[in-house]
Amino acid sequence: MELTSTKEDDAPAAGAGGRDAPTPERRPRTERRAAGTLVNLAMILLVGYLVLVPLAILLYSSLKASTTELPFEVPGFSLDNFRAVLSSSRLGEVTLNTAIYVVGSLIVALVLSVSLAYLFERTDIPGRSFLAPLALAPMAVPVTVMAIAWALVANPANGPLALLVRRVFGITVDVYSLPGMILVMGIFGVPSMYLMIAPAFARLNPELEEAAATVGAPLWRRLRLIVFPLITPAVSAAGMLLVVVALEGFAIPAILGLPKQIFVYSSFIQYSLQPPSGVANYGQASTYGVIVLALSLVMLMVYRRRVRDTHRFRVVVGKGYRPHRVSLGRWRIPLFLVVSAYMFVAIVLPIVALIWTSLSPYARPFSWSGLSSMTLESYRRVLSSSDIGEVLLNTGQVVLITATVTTAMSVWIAVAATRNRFRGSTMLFEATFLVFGIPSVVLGAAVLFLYLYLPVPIYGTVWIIIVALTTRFLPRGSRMVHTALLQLDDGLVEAARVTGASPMTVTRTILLPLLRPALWKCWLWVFAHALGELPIALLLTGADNRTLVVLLWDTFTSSVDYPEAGALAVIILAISTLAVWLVNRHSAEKQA
Amino acid sequence: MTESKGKVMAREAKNSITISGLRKSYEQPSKAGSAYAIDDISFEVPQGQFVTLLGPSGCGKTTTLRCVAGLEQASEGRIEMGGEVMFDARTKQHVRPEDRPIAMVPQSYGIWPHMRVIDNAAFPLRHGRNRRKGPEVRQRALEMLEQVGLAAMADRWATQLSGGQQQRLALARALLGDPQVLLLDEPLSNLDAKLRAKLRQELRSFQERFGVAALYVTHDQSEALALSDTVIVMNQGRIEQIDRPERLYDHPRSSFVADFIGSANLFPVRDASSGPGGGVLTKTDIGPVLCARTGQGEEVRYHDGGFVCVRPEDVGVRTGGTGATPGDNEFAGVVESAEYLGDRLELVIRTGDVAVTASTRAGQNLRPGGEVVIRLDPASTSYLAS
Ligand SMILES: Nc1ncnc2c1ncn2[C@@H]1O[C@H](COP(=O)(O)OP(=O)(O)OP(=O)(O)O)[C@@H](O)[C@H]1O
Ligand SMILES: [Mg+2]
Repeated sequence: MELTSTKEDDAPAAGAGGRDAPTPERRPRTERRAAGTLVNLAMILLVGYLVLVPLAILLYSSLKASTTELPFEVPGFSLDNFRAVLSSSRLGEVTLNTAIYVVGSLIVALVLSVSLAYLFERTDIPGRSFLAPLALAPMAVPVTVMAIAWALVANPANGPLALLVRRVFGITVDVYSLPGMILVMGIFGVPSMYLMIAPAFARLNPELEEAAATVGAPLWRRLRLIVFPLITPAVSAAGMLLVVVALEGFAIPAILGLPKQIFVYSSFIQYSLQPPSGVANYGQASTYGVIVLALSLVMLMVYRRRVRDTHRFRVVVGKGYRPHRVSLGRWRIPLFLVVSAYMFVAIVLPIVALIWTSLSPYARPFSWSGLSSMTLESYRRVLSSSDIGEVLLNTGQVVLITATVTTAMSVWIAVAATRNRFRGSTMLFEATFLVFGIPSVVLGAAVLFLYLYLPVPIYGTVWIIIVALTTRFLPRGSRMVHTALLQLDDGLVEAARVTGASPMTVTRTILLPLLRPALWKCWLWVFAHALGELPIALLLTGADNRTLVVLLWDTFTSSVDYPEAGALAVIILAISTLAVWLVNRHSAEKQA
Repeated sequence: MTESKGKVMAREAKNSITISGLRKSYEQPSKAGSAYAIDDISFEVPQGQFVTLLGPSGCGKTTTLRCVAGLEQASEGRIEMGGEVMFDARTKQHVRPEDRPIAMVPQSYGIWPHMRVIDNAAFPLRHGRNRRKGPEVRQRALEMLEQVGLAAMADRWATQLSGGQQQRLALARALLGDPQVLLLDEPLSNLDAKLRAKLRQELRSFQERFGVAALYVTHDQSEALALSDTVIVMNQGRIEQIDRPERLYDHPRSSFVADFIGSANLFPVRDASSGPGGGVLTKTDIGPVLCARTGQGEEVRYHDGGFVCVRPEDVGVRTGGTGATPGDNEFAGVVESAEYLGDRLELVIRTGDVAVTASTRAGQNLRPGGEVVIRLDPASTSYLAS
């Protein structure tokens, strides 16, 4: 042992140590390696630039005391913005609204997704083979489209759902209210939460529950004492994520809250930046941005700890048990009806209302007589407007380029992090996580400030939107690829390396093909979200880079032409559904 | 460096791999007193030989193999292959796995599920060290698949193979890379016992037919003894013994090896001195024992503890009783249990406080409770210093 300690000094650092050692007879390899190092360096700079600069800009502008000027035009630093925000009467009101909104949607989403996951995974409820996929269907609906669909289905004037409720129960419902926003956000959050919670239920060894049943514990006790503690990690992780999404989500509060001036943080930030008066308050916007960022980061920290904890519960994984389901007995049919009714109201009805409105000459409730006066007029108007060609082209460029670039960068970041390609690769991967907590309104504002200041001529083009969206989706994208990489058996890649194939060849012929399903999933996710991402497009839009979602927003809020807005929403929905279908078919073929 | 290189080449032309002083710690190098996953490993794999790393779980076999493959970098030491330096911690030299003349069969086989059988096999020809082009590639891959009995399945998806077929495919792929050294990490551990016995014979015959050196990792001693030209027994990151299989059993160099390979009676030694006829006279808990054998190659350091080692089949047993007085290397005892195993009788005999296991020919009338005399023949009794 003494020997080792004396020798320790000349031992190379583990890791990168001898990698670049020159071996004279292998000149070309060394050059290729140098090229690889250059590529790595370029990517590090790019990711750092995309991720860290907006964060810095945000902090920077929150310290610039000015209500009307752009941050770069203000000399000196001060805490005036924070002082002004903290002492304003607005803060209390907006904070309270935000708290009610976030907590309310969390409760709604939690109750719905836990119930659905339990019923579909653990019980013999009939029809689960089509109800379970249906619960996930809203994933393909961009949130902006979802919010507008709800505005159409539940507005007090002519929303079919609102009218139905008034006729049957005698209650007036108004979706343009805090409860309305909460309900829509809650329902919107169900699919992603269900996706995280359902596996926890599926893994639950039924013997644990049966053991409790045999000693005579009633259902409620069994749930409370056995089932809930075991699914708590997954549920709380999903909850944290929903809080972050609700906190920064813009479309729902904007579409359902702004008409009655109900502000939450995210919509208030946008309001400060693009008020009807036309005079933006950049300082106030940045300061609220910092507050939201801080809250989100706290949530994300807790989330990460939770997710780490879930590994502890791996013991729950039971091999070789027969998936025995709890019998619902005489509750089977009533519960089936309740779930079906929920699915109909929450998922089918809004979409039907959207289509109905888009085919109507004016906004009107469902009726048989209305069927005879259906018209494609609004589609004709949308598609024949002078700038629709440009809008479609812009949208296509934004969506396709963002999805492709984000997926490519995600692969690079995730591969570098898992294979430890260079020092700090893991840190780079972790750094992208910070962006996850930036509300997209704030990110849009930071990118806006940056390119108003930097002499890079992309302001007003689709590229500024692409830059902002790529930054926004990079954390989620790289995490999707990372997860897939972790599940990959190392032996598959190592077996290829030792044959003498170059790293490029191994990546091309082994790694990427094995990751293909994950790459498609990532691409699709970014595609669908880029299509519906409103606030960034809204803030960065100019005369020449309008996209479909901005057009939809303008049509819905400014010209209040509901049939035309409906037609636009249906078009967006059709595009994202088509993409989902194509990708699913593609991967299904690959499986066969 | 340069002047010694010529010498090294000449001396090791016969060795496919030469490893000296290899150490590896997974902890940060800055940490003081860090534990080594492998600690000062040195061995050689001569050309065309089958060498096995054997040891209990966690002793560092996989780590050693991965260092040889270049998938891990050791913290200290030196690895040469065919006379060329592949790794040297002092000169910070590290040849990457793709540039080493190796092929590997990982524990999970690493069969690529997105490719057909033939594409898996042909990968080294298409993308590997010695790339080829044209119809020759498929031809050679098919020939190799023929050799391992998979030619009929060449166009199947790789996922449609059974465990044993996957293993043969992995082997075919490795051999098509035309390696100097084949590295295998427990390639049989996922299979059932019958298939394992069959495949290990196949493995050995392929290795001999292609004349390639093999470095094989296993924790199964019967596998190691049946397959290898040389076995390297490892324990807690260190090498305990390097020897031919039969010598390993007859001449274990340490108590660990004696215990790990087969079964052995090990009596702790309190005091050792030189005995008559070049043997060692030891004091143990059962009494004084004369050992004619000593741990091979080591100078015996007396008064040093150590163990007396006797295999159960080398323990002589005869019925004792009032008349029988134990002689030299003989001890009186009582049968504690007797287990009849068809061809032999497995006995546990208590003498003093010590339980001795003996295995004798069946037929003797030895019952639990019976008095016996055991005899440890000095010629088959070893003194092990550690
Ligand atoms: N990636 C790693 N990080 C940290 N420690 C490791 C790592 N891989 C192995 N070790 C440690 O190094 C030691 C040797 O591990 P190794 O995998 O070489 O054992 P092994 O002999 O192959 O065992 P087995 O027969 O179980 O495969 C073990 O103590 C193990 O915990
Ligand atoms: Mg191992």
